[in-house]
Amino acid sequence: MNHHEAESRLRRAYEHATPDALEAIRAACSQTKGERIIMTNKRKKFPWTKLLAVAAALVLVVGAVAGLGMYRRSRPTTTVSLDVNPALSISLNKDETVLAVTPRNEEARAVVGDMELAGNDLTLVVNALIGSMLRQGYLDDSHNSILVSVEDTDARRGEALQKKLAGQIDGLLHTDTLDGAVLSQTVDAADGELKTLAEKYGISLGKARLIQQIVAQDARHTFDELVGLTVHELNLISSDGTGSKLETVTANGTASDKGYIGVEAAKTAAVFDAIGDTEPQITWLDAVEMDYENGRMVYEVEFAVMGVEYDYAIDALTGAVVKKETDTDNEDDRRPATTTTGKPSSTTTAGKPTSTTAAGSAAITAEQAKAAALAHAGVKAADIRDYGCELDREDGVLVYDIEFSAGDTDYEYLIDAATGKILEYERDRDD
Amino acid sequence: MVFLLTVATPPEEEKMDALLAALAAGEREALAGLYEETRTPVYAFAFSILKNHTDAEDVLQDTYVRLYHAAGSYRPEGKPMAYILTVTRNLCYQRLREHSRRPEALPEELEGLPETATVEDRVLLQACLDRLTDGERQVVTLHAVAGFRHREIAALLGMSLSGVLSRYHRAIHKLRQLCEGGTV
Repeated sequence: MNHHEAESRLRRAYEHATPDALEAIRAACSQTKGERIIMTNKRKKFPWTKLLAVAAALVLVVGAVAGLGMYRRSRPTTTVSLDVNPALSISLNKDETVLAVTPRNEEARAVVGDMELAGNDLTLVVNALIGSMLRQGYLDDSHNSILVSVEDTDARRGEALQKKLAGQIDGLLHTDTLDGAVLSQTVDAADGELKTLAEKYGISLGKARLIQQIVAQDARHTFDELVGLTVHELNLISSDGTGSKLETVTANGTASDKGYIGVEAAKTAAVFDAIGDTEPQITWLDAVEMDYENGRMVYEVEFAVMGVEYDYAIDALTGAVVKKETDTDNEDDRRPATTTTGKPSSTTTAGKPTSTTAAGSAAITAEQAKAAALAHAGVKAADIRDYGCELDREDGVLVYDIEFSAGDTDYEYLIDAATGKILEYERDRDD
Repeated sequence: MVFLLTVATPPEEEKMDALLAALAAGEREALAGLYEETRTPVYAFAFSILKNHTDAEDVLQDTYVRLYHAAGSYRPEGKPMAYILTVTRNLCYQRLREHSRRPEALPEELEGLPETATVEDRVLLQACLDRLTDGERQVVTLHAVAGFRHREIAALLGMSLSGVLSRYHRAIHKLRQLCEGGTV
């Protein structure tokens, strides 16, 4: 049997093993019709009872001072708006009894369904609505952000309600699969400009306020550009590891980036594009943050290596390079930065060399393994070519698989990554 | 003359470019076409990384959902199959990261394989799990099922070309032994 036949056998086996998933894929795609959401964990549905257990969600609470009015039972004194992708308004009287729930878009209609919510206490109604959103997948561990805006005739009452709601929803959405954050800000409902913007784009006052804040802080963004983003995406681009970057917003917890490739993958993509498969000393110039550029969510990766500064925007969904800037600068020290040796560590066994000691991985660095191999082969680093080094697993042992050529001889070494011992070597002279 | 009938051939580039462009233009039927063209390489590659059928199936689905949603940002540069498998690869790595945070490791199993898989197929795939290293399995799968050249495999997996070549040769050597030895 030649290798073509062996490959055919393998191909045939895989062909037979591939399930038919087209219907499931179609269902997952149309679930979020018109919205840019990826539901990656469609199989895992959260049981309603679990949701009311410990939880944390991302809640953006906006307090507002509206016009004046008499305090009568049927007169709405307060409006609470919820924005995720579903957008709805809840009007209340002074006793926090819900007078009406008004869905503002298709998804909100789906959330409300045929629930009869008017006449109930606000706490109950919020429970029901959040539960519905979780059940239908509008909130999950990849999209854990919700915007809550409170407009009240009485500023003090509005703020108190804001705090209470934040606490309630915070407590609602904390399971072992869901983590969240609470954002709070105040907004002035009498702000004419804000109202105009909100009406023009058909979004809530609270969301408009959030976008307005982002644009004010970062001139690269325009209101127009950000209007189509979900609350979750807006949160991702306006926060970093320590919380919201917006001054008027207080944040608890972090927006999840589980729907995306992740910081490590973004770093790997950027470094690989810049310098390929080598092991340099990388200086990270800034923490990796998410942003919105060229119509997509990206990771911003900035680093310097061998005197050159790189500024990358990596597509957060696919890992493709969206933008790349380099700046040759011969100065070595700039701002304080964290330094790691080698490529960002990876916990996969796909064979990426790593010299950081992540739990359970190599204690010997790739550099040390290389030195051991060269010493054994009796060749100098300067004399080799076609050098390759992979971290692999042979019979359960983590090894460095090192290959290089020197003169007319090809060498291959397997070096135990824990002890540095040479397990195997091969020399192959060209003839 | 013996006529060797192969069930699947590696997908054609032009066809895929056209499908991806159609998807970007909002033609949802293009998704079905793209799926039919590319599902085996996507599944096979995911399986070669994740080493179990269930997770590979999940990533298979997630890949197309992601392609669907990211369609607008696809720019036809380089090989479309490389683009698709990059998405698959990243989904796999993400899943491995998530699993590494929990104490139990990923199951290595073929449970859940569709009925179309024969006993022969199962034995071969199980042998791939047992007898090939991770690197060897991924390299030979990309070469055999996705039709990638060694250089393209190196780029996708972040390996050196020589690393790919040696893994490929070892993997083929072992596969041939398995197929000839009567165990498959």
